[in-house]
This record gives sequence, C-alpha cells and structure tokens, in this order.
Amino acid sequence: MSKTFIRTACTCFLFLLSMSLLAGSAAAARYEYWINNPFLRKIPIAIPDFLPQTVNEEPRQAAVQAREWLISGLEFVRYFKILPPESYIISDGESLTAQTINFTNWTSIGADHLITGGLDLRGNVLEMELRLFDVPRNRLIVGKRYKGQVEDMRKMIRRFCVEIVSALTDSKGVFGTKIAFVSNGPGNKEIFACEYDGFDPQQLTSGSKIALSPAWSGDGTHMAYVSYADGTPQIFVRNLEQKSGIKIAYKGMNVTPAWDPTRFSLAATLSLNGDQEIYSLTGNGKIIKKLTNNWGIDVSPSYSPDGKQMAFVSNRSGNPQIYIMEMDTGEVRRVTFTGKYNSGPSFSPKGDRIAYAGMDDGTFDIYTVRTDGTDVQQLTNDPGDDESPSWSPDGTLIAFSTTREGKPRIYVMTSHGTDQNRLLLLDGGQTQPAWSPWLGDY
Amino acid sequence: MAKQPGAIVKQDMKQQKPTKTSPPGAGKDVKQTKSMSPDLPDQDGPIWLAFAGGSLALHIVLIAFMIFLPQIVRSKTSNLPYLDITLEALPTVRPGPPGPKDVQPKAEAPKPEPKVEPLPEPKPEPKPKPEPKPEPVVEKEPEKPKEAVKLKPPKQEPIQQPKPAEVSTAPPKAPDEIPVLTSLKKRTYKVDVAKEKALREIKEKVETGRPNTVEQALKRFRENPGERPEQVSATAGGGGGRPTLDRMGMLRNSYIQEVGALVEMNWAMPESYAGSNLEARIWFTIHSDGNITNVGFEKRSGDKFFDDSVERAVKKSIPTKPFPAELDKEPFEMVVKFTPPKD
Repeated sequence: MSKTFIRTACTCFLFLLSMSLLAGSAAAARYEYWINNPFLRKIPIAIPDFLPQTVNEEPRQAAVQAREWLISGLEFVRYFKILPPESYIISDGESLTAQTINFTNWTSIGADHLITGGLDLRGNVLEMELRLFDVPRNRLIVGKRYKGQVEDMRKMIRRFCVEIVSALTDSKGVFGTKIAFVSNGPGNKEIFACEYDGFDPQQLTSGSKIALSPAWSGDGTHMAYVSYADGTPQIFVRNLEQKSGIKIAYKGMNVTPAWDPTRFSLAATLSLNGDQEIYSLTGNGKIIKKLTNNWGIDVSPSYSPDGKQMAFVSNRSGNPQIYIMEMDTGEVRRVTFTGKYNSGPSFSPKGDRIAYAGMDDGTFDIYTVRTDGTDVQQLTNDPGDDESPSWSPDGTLIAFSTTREGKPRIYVMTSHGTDQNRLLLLDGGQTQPAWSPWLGDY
Repeated sequence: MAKQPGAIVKQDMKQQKPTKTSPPGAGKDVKQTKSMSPDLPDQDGPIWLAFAGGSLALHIVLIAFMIFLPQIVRSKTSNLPYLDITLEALPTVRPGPPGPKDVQPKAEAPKPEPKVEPLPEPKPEPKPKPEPKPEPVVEKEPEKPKEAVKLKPPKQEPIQQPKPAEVSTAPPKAPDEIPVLTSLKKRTYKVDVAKEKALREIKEKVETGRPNTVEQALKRFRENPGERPEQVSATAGGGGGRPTLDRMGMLRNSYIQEVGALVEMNWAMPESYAGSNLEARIWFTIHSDGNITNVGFEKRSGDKFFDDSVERAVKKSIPTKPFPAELDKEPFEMVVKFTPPKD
C-alpha cells in the first residue's frame, strides 16, 4: 500500500509541478507600459452632414442649422474636438445606423465618436433622429428621435447634447443651465440671463436704477440681486417662476448676496451699525446670525457646495484678501497670500478650489487656489481687468467679465484657463456673470 | 477563490497530522499512531517527502490559479456597462445585454402628450406617433404659454426672428476674432503647445493615412525622448521576470515601446483630468500580426469618462504594427498604465 501510495504521490507531484511550471512561464510573459501624457486633450468627434429625409429645400436648410447648433453646443463644453469635415471618408450607402457605417474609416481619421443625424420637415413638424456612436468599439451609445415644431429644433439639439454628455461622463454638463449677468444696455444696469452658451439673452429686471450681484438659489428657483430702485442698495429675492419677490432693506447698505446651496437661506453684507459685516439670512430676509465681527470690511460671501464653509473677502490684514470661515465653529483662516488685492471669491462645485480675481501688476486676473491656500494658478493674463469668476455647475468651466475688448464683456474658459471665448455680444457692457445650477430640461 | 484555499488547507491538515506525530513516535501519542507505527520507522523519509511534495505541488497549483484566474475573470470585466439605447424600428439593435438601467427611464418618457416638447421617444411603438403630428401644428400658439413655466414665453419669439442675428453674435462662435490668449503662464502654455501639436498630428494622420502612425509615433518618440521622462517599460510578471535581457528581450522591449507610443498618440483625454490622481490599467494580448485581443481592465480609475477614454485609446490602436521578423511569434500580454499628466 505504501509503495503504490508513494508512486501515486510522486506522479501527482511531477504532474502538478509541470503544470505549475507551464503556468509560471506563461504568467511571466507580461509587459508593462506607462502612459501619463495623453496626446490629445480633447475628445475627437466626427459629425458628418445631417441627412434630410426629403429633398426639399427647407429640410436641407434645417439639417444644416441643426448640425451647426450641435457643433456649437459640443464645442462650448471645450472637451470635444470636432474633426474637420474635409477629412471624413464616407462610404457609399453610409447613412444613420451602425449597419451602414464603415467604422474603420472613422477610426482611421482618429475619431473617438461619431454622431449621425437625420431629419424630416413636413409643414411645421420636425422629426429628427440623432445617434452617438463609439467608433473604436463600433457601437451605438445613445440614439434618440425627437418630434416637434420646427421652432423647437434648438431644444431638441440641446436635449441630445445632454444625452451625449450624460452618456459619456458622470455629469449632466452645462446644457441645462443659464448664466445671469449685469448689463447696462438698457441705459442703466439691469439683470439679464441667457442660455449656457449666450443664446437668447433676456432682461429680468427693470426700473432698478442700478442692479448688481445676481445670485441663483441652490435649486435655481430664486434669484437674489442688489437694486438701487429705492435709492439705497437693497437685496431683492425673486421667485423666478411666480415672478414674485421680497425686499431685504435693512438700514444702511444691503449688498453681495450669496445663497447657501443646501437650503433656502443666504449670506449678505449689511452695514446695520456702520461697519460692513456678513450676516446669514433666511430666504425671506430675516437675520439668522451675524457671521463676521471685525473692524474691517467683510464682503462677497460664497458658500462651499456642502454649505459648511464660506469664502469671503476681508481687509482685516490691511488689504483685501480671501478668507474661509468654518460655518460650525466660526473659525476663519486666510487663503490668499499673494497679490495686493484679491476679491470676488467663488467656491468650485467640487469644493476643492476657489476662483477669485486678483490684482498684482495693476490689472485684475482670474486665479484659482486650493482651499488650503496652496497651488495658486493664474488662469488669465491680459491687459484688461478680468473679474467676477463664476463656475459652471459641473466645475469644468468658469465665466468671468473682462475689459480686454474695451467694454466689459462676459467670457467663458475652462477651469484650467484655456479656450477663453466671449459668451455673447450685447449693447452696452456686461459684468458679474452668475452661472445657474442645473435647471432641468428647460 | 475562497473555497479553494480552504479545501487545500484541509488536505494539508490531514496529511500533516500523521507526519507530525510520527517523528516523536515513541511515547505519548501512542493512541493515534498505533495503527501506523509499525510502518513508520523505515519509511519515515520517503513518505514525508511524498506528502511534502504533494503539498508543495498543490500550493504551486494554487499560485498558478491565482495567476491565471484574473485572466479568466477578465473576460467578464471587459464587457463595459455601456449605454445601448436603440431607436424604435431601427435595426441598430445591438445584442449587447448591458445597459438595462438606462433603457427603462428613457422608455418611460412617453411622448403621448401632443405637446411640442421633443421628449425622448420610447422605442417600442414607432408608428402610433405619426398621428399626433398634425396636432402640434394646430396647437402652436397655446403651447407657448405652457412652457412659460420657466421664463420661456419671451424666449420663443426671439428664436424665430432674430435667429440669424443671434446665432452670429451670441455664441462664442467667433473665436477667430478673439485671439485666444496664450500667455497663461507655465501651466497653460504647455497645454497650448500640446494642442497645436495634436492638431498638426491629426492633420498629418489624415493626410498620410493610418499605416504610418506607428512610424510617426516612433519617430516622435525618438526625436523627443525627454518628453516623457517618466515612461517606464519594464518586464514584470508573476514568474519574477527574466534575469538577463537577451536579444529577444530587447527586440520585444523596443516593439513594446512602439505599441505604447501608438496607444499614447491615440489617447484623447479631456483637459480637465490633468492634475487628478486617477489611474487605470488595461491589459491585452498582442499577436504577431499586430492584432490585439482580450482587451480588458486590470484596474479601473472609477471615472467613466476617463476609463472609456483609455479603453478607446487601445481599441483605436488595433491593429498595431506586426512583430519584427526576428521576434518570437508567440503572442504576449501587455499592461498599459494610464495616469493623467500633472498639469
């Protein structure tokens, strides 16, 4: 018994050993390579001409317009690169669906994604099909068909943009947002708001004499702003849907409102006793608490996304600098140490950085800094003044005002300072942009 | 996995009990060793060896399993949970099972309301809808008030008339007029350079077609070796790698450099990830004809956009260059680690 046992054991051992040796040698043939420098900093997308389903002139024009809007929408977010149509290789019979598409051709021009569109226009009724493909993987990512009146074409495009961004990223992007700002186009400063890309600017206030500092509530339903309609600066809180509103008119000045994103309450600078201090208020204007208590001027609050911190400007050190207050404890720490004049802080939606306008060499530029005061990055550098930074709710973009063209204009750039472009062109000058939160499928 | 070690441990225990008790053999453990004791003295060594050998072999097999198992499991992970929304009545339907989550919410958004609202359409019933068509036309006017809920009403008018004017002015479409500032200090300066390069390369790619990309990448790599100081190409493996770098090893290493450079060239990552500390690792098998198979994640960063971008980078690199003639034709595995640049 023992001998057979030994023999079996030995055979078993040899067999297993040889197996394991094989396994070992196979596992050894594995090589590593490290890439930390992507060659392209934007996602290349191909968008061939949209195909009108009928040959009439009107659908053809609509197809051109729809594609243009889609391209401008995707270019706005600044992480897509629309490949030039001259490079497209379109096979015969290639149309809207995956079966007909020759993905190899699209891969060869370096496209990560492909968007096809087709539309039909009958009378006033527009039907549009849009599809987003993953080119290297040869598959459909999202496809939608929209139907409505021709006037709603832009809305259809915007909705598909939302589909694209939510399919590719973990965020909803900026397509469902607006930007409020101050414009003196009407002769005096009033509050305006436009779509995320500057489209369709609308005047929201009138008769203000001077209107300043628009601020969206965390849910986007209310806007607070400063108005001089009654002579002294007062804060108006307006329900955007019902067009109703209240006034916050304490003695002295009532300025620089900022919403706590987590609740219906705001912080603002009041000068009840002559000294400018920041107070927290209910959305209806009742004082909850005096937040700062310092001989200097404390203004321009901006809440962190969780509402637990508040950045603000104070000149307690001699010149205006950015500080952060812990809302629980009231503890205050200084964030900016460079530059003689830093103002207009804006907490990033991730809560990790603060954007602000800083002056070092005689003009204001936009900077960002970590909330612990490290890693200061200068995002703009031009002869004009760049001020009032405001983050897009997804944290990828920053709107700001600039005088680089002479008259003040609203510009938008990435949160890294690249791709600085004018948002819109209106009569007069525009300042103090305020990016709304996600407003839903408006 | 959890079961296997357990099973093996049990076996070990069984085997070791008798062996342990046998050496002291003599006095105290009499009861247990009784039946065995006659045989033990002579064959003490060999049996111990046999058991030890078996045990060792089992352990080795276990290790081999641990090495192989990820490969087997990997085939599953390579199926990305991908959105696969198909349109109604369109033959684009993919067999891909993933993405049921997204299908539901979208399907539920029905369009039945005769509103103009271009709701995402449900796939299943394509035909019933054409009928409501005429209604929207008639309802044109009443609808505007409906949408008035959110500052809409004034909006519709401008869309119709000043459309052309708005389009030309409003969106930041006129970047040509506005020189994009490049003087953004160190960080952004690099970015601009990179972007220019990227554009140039895309153009070149388009002109010269695909076959040259590997050569281009290699050329670029040779010209600017300092560009990617941190790049590492190392042999690594479960077996402890190779002691010396023979000629075959060198050949393979330089080939791996080429493949890596090609993947890097095909990697498009949004600027906003720069400076973040994400890391994704993808592995795949390269065959002698340049084909790449079994692409899968060894490690995901957790960020969907980032992970997708690195997977696409690999997929876009298929097929890569064939092995050089002298290189062993045996397919081998490669792991590419992707991390965003520091700035």
